[in-house]
Amino acid sequence: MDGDFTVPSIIHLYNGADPGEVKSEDLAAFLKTNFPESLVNVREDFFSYWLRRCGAKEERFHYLAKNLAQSRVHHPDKRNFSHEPLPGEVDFELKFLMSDRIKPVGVLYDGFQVMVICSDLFAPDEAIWDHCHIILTNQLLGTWDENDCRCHIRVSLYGFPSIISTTGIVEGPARPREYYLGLTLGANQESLKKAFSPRYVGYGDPRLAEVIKGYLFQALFYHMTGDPFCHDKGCRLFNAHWQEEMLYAQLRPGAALCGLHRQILESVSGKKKQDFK
Amino acid sequence: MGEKIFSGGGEKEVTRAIISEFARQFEEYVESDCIIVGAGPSGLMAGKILCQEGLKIFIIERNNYLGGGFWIGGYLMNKVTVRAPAQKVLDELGVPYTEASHDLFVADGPHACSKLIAAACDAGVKFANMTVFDDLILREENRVAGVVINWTPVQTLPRQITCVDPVALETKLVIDATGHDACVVTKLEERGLIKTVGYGAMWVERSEDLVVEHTGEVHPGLVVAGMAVSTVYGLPRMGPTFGAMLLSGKKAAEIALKILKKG
Repeated sequence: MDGDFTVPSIIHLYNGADPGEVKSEDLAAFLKTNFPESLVNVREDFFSYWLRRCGAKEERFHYLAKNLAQSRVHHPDKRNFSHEPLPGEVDFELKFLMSDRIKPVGVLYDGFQVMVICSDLFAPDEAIWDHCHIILTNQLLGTWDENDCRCHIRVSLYGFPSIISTTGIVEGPARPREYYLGLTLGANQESLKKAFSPRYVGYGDPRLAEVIKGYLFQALFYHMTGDPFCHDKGCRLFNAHWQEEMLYAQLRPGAALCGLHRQILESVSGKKKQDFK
Repeated sequence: MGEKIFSGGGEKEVTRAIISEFARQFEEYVESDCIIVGAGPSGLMAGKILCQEGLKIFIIERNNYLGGGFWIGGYLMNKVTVRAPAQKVLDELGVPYTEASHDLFVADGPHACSKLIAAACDAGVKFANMTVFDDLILREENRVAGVVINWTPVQTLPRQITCVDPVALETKLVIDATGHDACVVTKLEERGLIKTVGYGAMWVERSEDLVVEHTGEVHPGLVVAGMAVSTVYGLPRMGPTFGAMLLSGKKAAEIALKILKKG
C-alpha cells in the first residue's frame, strides 16, 4: 500500500458557499494540519475565479450560463439534458455568473454535468493530478441512480474537480424516520424541526463547518487513492445516507479516521508526487 | 316625525348608476398600459406600483373577492408570514406584525390583505372581478397585445345555455399573476409559443429567492410574477410564506416599467 498513494502538491479550495456558514480559513487550517506537505490555496467561488483569470469575454459567460441552465434537473424521475433551456433560466445563470452575489438555493443541477462544465475551465498548468481542486458550493447537486431511476441529492461528487455541496449536507442525507412520519401525519413542520433538530443538520447550523471537514477528507482520499469512502460507520470517510449516520461519523466526540485510513494518511505524509519518481 | 336617513331615488336610478359607471370604466379600460391577470398578492403589488408610476392598470380576477390566498396563511389559519426583507412591504402598507422568530414575521391575514387591496385601489388600479381570462391577443411576431375575457359564471354553466362570446381588451403588456395555474403562459404553451417546466415537486426550505430572481419577461409582452414563476421554471414548492409573492410583484412592476419605457 505504501508508495501507491501520493498527496497533491497543491490543494485548491474554492469557497462558493455562504460565507456566514463556512469560514475558508478554518477549513484551510484543517487541511494544513492533516496534509502538511501540501500547499493549501484558498480561492473565491470557482466560476468567479476562473472566469476572471481567463479574462472571459461575454460569449464565454453566455456559453457557460446556457450549459448550467441545461444541467438543471427539472424532474427527478426523468433523465434528460437535451432540452433547450428557457431564456429566463439562462438569464438567471448569467446574472449570477456576472455578479458577486450569492446564488439562491433551490434549483437542482446534475452533479456530473456541473463537474464537466467546471473541468472545462481549468488552465492547462493546473489541470494536472498533482493539483487537487475542491469546490465548496451552496448549490444543490444530484446524480441519477440506475437502481430506482431517480435523481438523488448528493452531498459531494468526487472527481477532477471534487465538489462539496453545503445545501446537499442539509437536504441530501435523510432525516430521522420519525420526522417524515410526523410530516405524513400532518404535524407542524416548525415543531418537528424543533423536536428533531439535534438529529439532523439544518440551514445555518453551526455544526455544518465541522461536517464539511469529513467531506474534505473524502475528497482528498479520492484524490490520493481513488476511493473516497470507508465501510466503517465510525470513520470520517463513511458514506452516510442518513443524517444521524453523518452526525455520528463526523461529530461524535473523538470523530476521526478509522485506523486503516489514519495509517494511509500517515504513510503518505511527506511523500509528494516527486518522491515516487 | 323625524327626517329620513337616506335620500330618495328609486330602483331605476340605482340600476342606471351601476350600468353607466361600469360601462364608463369598462370602455375606458378596453385599452390600458398593462393588464394584470390575477389579483393575488403579486398581482396587487405589481398593480399598485405601476399605478403609482402614473400608468393605467387593469386587473382581471376570476373570483368575486380580491387578494387570492393572501387572506389565509396555511391550513385555513388566517395568519400570514413573510421573511425579511419583505416586512418592509408590510411597513409601507401600514400592516402591524410581530417577529415570530429571527427574520420571520407574522401578520394578521385579513389586515394585510385588505391593506394591500386598499393600497392598490388608492393608487388607482381598476378591477374586473368575476372575470375570467380566456385567451390572448397576439400581434406581429406573436407579441402579446391584449387579453380575451369572459364572465366567470359562463365557464361554470353548461355550454348549451352559455354560448356567450368573450370580449377583448388591448394593452401594451400583460402580467401573468395567476398562481400555480399560470393561465396566461399555459395559453401560449398550448399554441407552441413557449415551453414551461411545470410545477416543481421537490420541497426545499429556502427557495423564495428563486421566485423573485426568475420573475421576468417570458415572451414578448408577457411578464410572469408570483407562483406562476414557479410553474414556468419548475421551481421547488414553498411553504405558506408570502414574502416572495410581494417581492416578485414588485420586481414584475420594475421590469414592466422598463419594457413600457422602451416600447
